[in-house]
Amino acid sequence: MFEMPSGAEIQSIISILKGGAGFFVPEIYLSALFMVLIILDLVTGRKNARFLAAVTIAGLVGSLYYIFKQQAMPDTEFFFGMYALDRFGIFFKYFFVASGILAVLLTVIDDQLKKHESGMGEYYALLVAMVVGMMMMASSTDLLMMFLAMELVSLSAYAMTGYLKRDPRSSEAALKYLVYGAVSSGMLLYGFSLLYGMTAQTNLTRIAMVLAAHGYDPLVMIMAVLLIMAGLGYKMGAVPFHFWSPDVYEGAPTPVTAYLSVGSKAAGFAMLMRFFFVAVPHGMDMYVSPLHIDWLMILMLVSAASMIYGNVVAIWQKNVKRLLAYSSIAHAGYLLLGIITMDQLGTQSVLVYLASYLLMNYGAFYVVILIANRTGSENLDDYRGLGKKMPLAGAALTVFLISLVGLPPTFGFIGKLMIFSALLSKGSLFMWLALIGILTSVISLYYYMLIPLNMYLRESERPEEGVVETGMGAKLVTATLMILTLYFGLFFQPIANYAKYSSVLFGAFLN
Amino acid sequence: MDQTLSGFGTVFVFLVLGIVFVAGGYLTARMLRPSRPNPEKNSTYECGEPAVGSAWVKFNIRFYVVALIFIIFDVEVVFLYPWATVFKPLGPFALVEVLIFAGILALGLIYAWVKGDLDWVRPTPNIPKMPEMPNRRIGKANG
Amino acid sequence: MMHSLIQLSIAVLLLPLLSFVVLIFFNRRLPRGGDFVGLGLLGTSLAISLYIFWNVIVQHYDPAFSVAWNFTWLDFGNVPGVGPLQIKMGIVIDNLTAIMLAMVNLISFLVHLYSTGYMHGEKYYGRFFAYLGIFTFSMFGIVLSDNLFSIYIFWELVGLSSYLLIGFYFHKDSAADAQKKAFLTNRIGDIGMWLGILILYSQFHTFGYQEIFDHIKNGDFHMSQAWLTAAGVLLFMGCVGKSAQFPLHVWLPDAMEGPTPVSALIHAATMVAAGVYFVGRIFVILTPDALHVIAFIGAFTAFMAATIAITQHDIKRVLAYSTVSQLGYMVLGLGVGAYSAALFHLLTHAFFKACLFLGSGAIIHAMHHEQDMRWMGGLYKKMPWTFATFMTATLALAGLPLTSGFLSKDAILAGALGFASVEGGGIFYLIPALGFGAAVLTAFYMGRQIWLVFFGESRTHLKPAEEHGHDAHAAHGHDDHHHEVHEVAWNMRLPLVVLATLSVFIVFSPDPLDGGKGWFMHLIQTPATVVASTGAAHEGAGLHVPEAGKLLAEAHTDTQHVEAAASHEAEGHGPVFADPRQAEIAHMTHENHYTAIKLSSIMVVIGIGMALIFYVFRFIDPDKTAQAIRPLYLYSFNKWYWDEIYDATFIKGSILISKILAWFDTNIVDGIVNGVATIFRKFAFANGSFDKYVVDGLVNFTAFTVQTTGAVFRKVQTGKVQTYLVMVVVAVLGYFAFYLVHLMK
Repeated sequence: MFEMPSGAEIQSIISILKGGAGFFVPEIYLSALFMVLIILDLVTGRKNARFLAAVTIAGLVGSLYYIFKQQAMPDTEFFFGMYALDRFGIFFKYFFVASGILAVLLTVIDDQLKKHESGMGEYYALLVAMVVGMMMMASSTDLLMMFLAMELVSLSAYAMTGYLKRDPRSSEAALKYLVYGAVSSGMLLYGFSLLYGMTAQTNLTRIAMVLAAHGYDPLVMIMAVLLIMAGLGYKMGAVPFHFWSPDVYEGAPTPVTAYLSVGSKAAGFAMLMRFFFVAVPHGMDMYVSPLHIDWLMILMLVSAASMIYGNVVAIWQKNVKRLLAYSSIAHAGYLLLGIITMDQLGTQSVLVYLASYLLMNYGAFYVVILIANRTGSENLDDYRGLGKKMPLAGAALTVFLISLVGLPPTFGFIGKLMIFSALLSKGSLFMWLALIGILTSVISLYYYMLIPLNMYLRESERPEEGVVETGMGAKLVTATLMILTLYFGLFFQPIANYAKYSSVLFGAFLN
Repeated sequence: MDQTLSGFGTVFVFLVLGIVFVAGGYLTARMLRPSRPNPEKNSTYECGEPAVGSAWVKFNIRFYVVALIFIIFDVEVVFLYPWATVFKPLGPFALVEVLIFAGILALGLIYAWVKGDLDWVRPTPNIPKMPEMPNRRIGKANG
Repeated sequence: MMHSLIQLSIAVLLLPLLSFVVLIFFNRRLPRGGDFVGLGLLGTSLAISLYIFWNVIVQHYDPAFSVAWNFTWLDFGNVPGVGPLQIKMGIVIDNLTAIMLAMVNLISFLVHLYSTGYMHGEKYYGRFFAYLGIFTFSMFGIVLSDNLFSIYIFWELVGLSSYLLIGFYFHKDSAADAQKKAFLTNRIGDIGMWLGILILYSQFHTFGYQEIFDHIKNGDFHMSQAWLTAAGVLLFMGCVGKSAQFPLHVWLPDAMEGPTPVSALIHAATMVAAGVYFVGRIFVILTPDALHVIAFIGAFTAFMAATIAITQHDIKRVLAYSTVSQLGYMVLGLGVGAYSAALFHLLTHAFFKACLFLGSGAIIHAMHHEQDMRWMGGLYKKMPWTFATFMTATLALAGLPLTSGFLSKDAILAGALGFASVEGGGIFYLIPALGFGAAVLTAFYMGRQIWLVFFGESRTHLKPAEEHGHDAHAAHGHDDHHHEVHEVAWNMRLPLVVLATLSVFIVFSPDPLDGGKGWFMHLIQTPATVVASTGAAHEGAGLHVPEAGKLLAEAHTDTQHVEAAASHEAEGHGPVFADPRQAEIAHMTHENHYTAIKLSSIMVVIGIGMALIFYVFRFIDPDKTAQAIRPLYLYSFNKWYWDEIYDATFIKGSILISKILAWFDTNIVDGIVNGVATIFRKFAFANGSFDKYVVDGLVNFTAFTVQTTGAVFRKVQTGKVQTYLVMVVVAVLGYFAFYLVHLMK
């Protein structure tokens, strides 16, 4: 069975690996950053949280340089077809680094994490590890690599969720997340193994080729797709694989919640797109293959269920974090709409939507943290009269929420507009989905606007407090996020163009 | 219909036969054997030692930490064997590679050590409990 | 490079806007409400306007003077289905613009000055000046625009500022109602105007006046002549609304709810004249049919408003109906082709009517907000300045010789006579007849007003107590009755004197009997029409205008006609017209000039005589006469019942339609919406309950109880996640089962 490779063979393997490493620089760089953070945590003293945060941000910003250098490289697959370098992946690398930087900014202001007893070294290291994992999720082109990347993200996420060791809610959330994630990973792995069993291949492109050439048993195939969908759906937080997210989002430290709801969700979407766009067989006419229709049907159902469930249940929430958790389920539904169209316009719209989601969701969580620092609460009723006490934060939160609803003149509007126009450009086929999307957006208006309603129109129970100061840095970040949300709502062309440029996947039929 | 069984069909037949075989054995034994229980017979068999208490006791969490660290180095060894077989054709490159690998693992060990995770009896840090957020209770806010 | 006049005119345009911006934001922070800002900026722009006037009118003194400048404001590129879509903005300065600019600016400045006295102590004093600023800006915009699109923008802007100023006392219901009435009535006209603009745009893909004129001249209008007539009439609808012509005249009298300086500036001198100005601008594209419509509407309005004015008691209402009547004259003038006469009347009327309104404002101010002429009287001794200026302006309005009003009104009436004789039909003589009738009535009601206000004994004490209730204008002034009536201060007197001076003939013409010899009629000459087709001049039989063609065939040959026109020109009375009809009218107008002078002088004398008979010498008791012809009196007093007719038809009708729609909305549309909402609510509740009781519930409710009772925490975690996972597995298997069933079919 196993035969010892000859020296020449090994040499050639090594040279291939060495060559591939040239396309892998950002990931290697960030892994090194991970290690540097661990070492720094060991050698610096106890009160090193701010220093480590600064190093993390500097390191993440530095990685942008290496990602930028990759833009000049041609689209390619390396490490024996395990990993791809393409524009799609590069877009997500930028996205995840930005998401990591924002997560650090959120962490710095969070009072709960500030008081954490055993330091923040592990936290920032895990954060960086998760960035690496998410990058790999977006770029892996091999079932094994995909699974490994996803596990790297998940494990870091579990640890970060339970980072407040003394807080029982944090621990509870972490454990739930772990158990749930383990089972979901298991299902994903089961789906992968079925796929491997059918094709004897792990590379996505080759899987597609084998399936196209030899056909497949639809029953086994649909089971595989369903199981993989369950694994990916868990990462994306889409109904009915969403059950973990409200509890975890509520229990986790707020910066982690924000990070999970943007970063790990986006990674799930990136992987979903790469997997389905590349691996699932398709004819010349994209609606010919029966399997194609089937998995599209799964996506449509999941999307519709997410939009309806997320929005409708969010109406009943009184806790703002939980409310945002349900809304993030709904946003997963909207994002799926862009994937269902299966074309470049749809992919572009998903990327733009994700970019807008990055700004507005981080912004909303940022303000939620600022408010929780002052009031010690995330309860909707405790938001009363905050519009007067924290004028900038209140205004910013209102802008982010308007953007989350998808109203002009915000970035969120552009995202939603592009998704719906991509969907409707397919004719009446997806009309019902668009209709659900628009109706549920109306519902979302109700619960999002409850927050400004409480902030501005209801009187505070403690009106004597007066204006609350939030600090210069926090004000700067809030204002920047708010201005960007509005700015891109008006001047979205550069982002839309870049997203269009990036909607090219290695080996996918889209281009 | 095709008369021959597919590969999964064979597995299915095996499964059914296995269940029938085991269940049949138990059933026959139950019907044939006499039933005279006593406390000694009903106690859990634990390698001849008398069982003390329930098996569902709490173990110290540090068992797991040590076990985890052990596993890591166990796996390291698994990686080192194939590495050793191809060490010669690879030359110095292989040495550097494995040193990085071992270094990362060592860093993990050092980290756990410095952070005090290997001390069996840890001094309990006297840190005031986190301020409770009045409304934060998972699941409750769902209504 | 921009012409320096254009640069100056831009400064004139923007200074009032600056005044508005400064005052609307900072009026509370500035001393005296910031009135000096408005005055200063308007004064500056007045200086510039006067320079432009001097440069254009005095220095150039050229009928054909014109400077234009434009830029592309919006470029949509090639719009599918429309073609290249470009919207330009631009400025054109010719004689008319220069005169209008100076006139508007002068009156605006005087009204600013006057308001510092009249509005003193008002709560929103500063805001008033801000509104005046935006109005003046918009009015300049109308005057300077070189295209239909930008004039429409400024047209709506003056509508807005008029709306704001009418409702300046917005706490009074009557003012708020008047405000809405003015706004809505104007919109009706504006819709027509916009449609007219669109008809022209659809043909020529441009909004510029000159370009449209050129296109029509070149025969690029591919639709029938009827469409051009329709476009002309629709554009005229804008004027009907803004210049308060029948049937949209009803808003102007109610607009007197605004402060009196506003009435003087906007609702007498400038904005209402904008309609006439606009028709003047587009005069050359109006077809004879469209002109007939305009002439009849103008004549009817002039006469009707005059009959109403003779019975009104409110001093401002008399002037308001007089304004409607005089605007009717101007429209009539345009309709009959007496272009320069109509615009001349626009200018003269602006001065003397502004003077009258400011004078009435002074009276109201002095009488402590008494507006009812029945309770005035004997003021000429107490207010000599006001009396003198008011009297001068009244004489001008009545059209007595030696005044400016005589010159312009006479020119219009001469034009009407000429027109009627050219058109030939008996029905067309109705137009001058109505014009002369209105002249009699004008003299009569102005005589009545002068007598009631200034002469006789003071009748303040006669005012019955119950009048208080329904005299909305005087709502807050009655307790001041015992104060002494006195002459107003200098800042209110000066504008009166300036305006009265400008109502004297010498300003406009050296000949007190003929405006045609003055500078105005020389500089503003009737432009040659572009619609009656160039072919008409060559072959008389093929004319587009049947009447003119018939007449021409009877009286002249083409050559003769041109000779006649040439001799006409040699006399210094206007340009040569290529269009035979226009030339004929110009010729006949000249012929009828002295007839008009005689007739109108007689009419004025009759009117004043009647006023003397009724009110001064009391040969006939006006009250008894009113009783004797009670139905007629009531018909006039109630303003021909137009408000009631509109109320019964359009307003009730609209309300009925809106009620039907509201019923549809509440019962059917809302029903559907509410139904959907209910379903969603139920569904949300079900979903929420599902999450609450089924998902979290089973275990989580336990968790809640367990936590609150301080029991074991562990159980919660395990139980809960299991439930979750069961849900996921059920979902996957459920879909698989569904697929299986689907596959088996």
